[in-house]
Amino acid sequence: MQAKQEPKITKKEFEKLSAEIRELVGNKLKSHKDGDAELSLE
Amino acid sequence: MQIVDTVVLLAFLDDNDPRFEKANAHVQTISFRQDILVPSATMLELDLELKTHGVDDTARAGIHERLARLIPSSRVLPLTSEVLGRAAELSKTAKWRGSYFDTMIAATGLEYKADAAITTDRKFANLGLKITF
Repeated sequence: MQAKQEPKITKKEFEKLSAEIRELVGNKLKSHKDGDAELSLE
Repeated sequence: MQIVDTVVLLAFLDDNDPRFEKANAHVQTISFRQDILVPSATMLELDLELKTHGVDDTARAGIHERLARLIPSSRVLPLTSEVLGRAAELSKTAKWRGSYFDTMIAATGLEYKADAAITTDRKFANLGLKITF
């Protein structure tokens, strides 16, 4: 299988994508504490 | 080589987190430095954190679509049987609550000969990895 070419990302693209990601997350992680994910499995 | 712990990605997502600036810089380096790698277990724990905190399926899909550009698959280390076996071994000493993902992330680092884990979680030192942030 041929390896897929991964285009380099520019600083501007990084900032744009990061902002979009944070907008999608919203304020849902404000009450986050380390280990929450695993505790949700118990 | 260094591996990225979930706390880095979580701090990257929250610009109010006191670790945000450094976490943001670490994530930015992932796409152009070949010696900074992300365990699959880190990605999985991140997704479960998002799901646990009520980020809906559509939003999670959009987040991962964008994260794939920031963290290309060539920078993600697989979760193999060797990693899971090593994680199970580490679990014998990792008795703290919530150590399941820690052991998988540390085991990935150990299996792939990482020098250190990028994390603020000092417990990684108990699992055989130096820590840096």
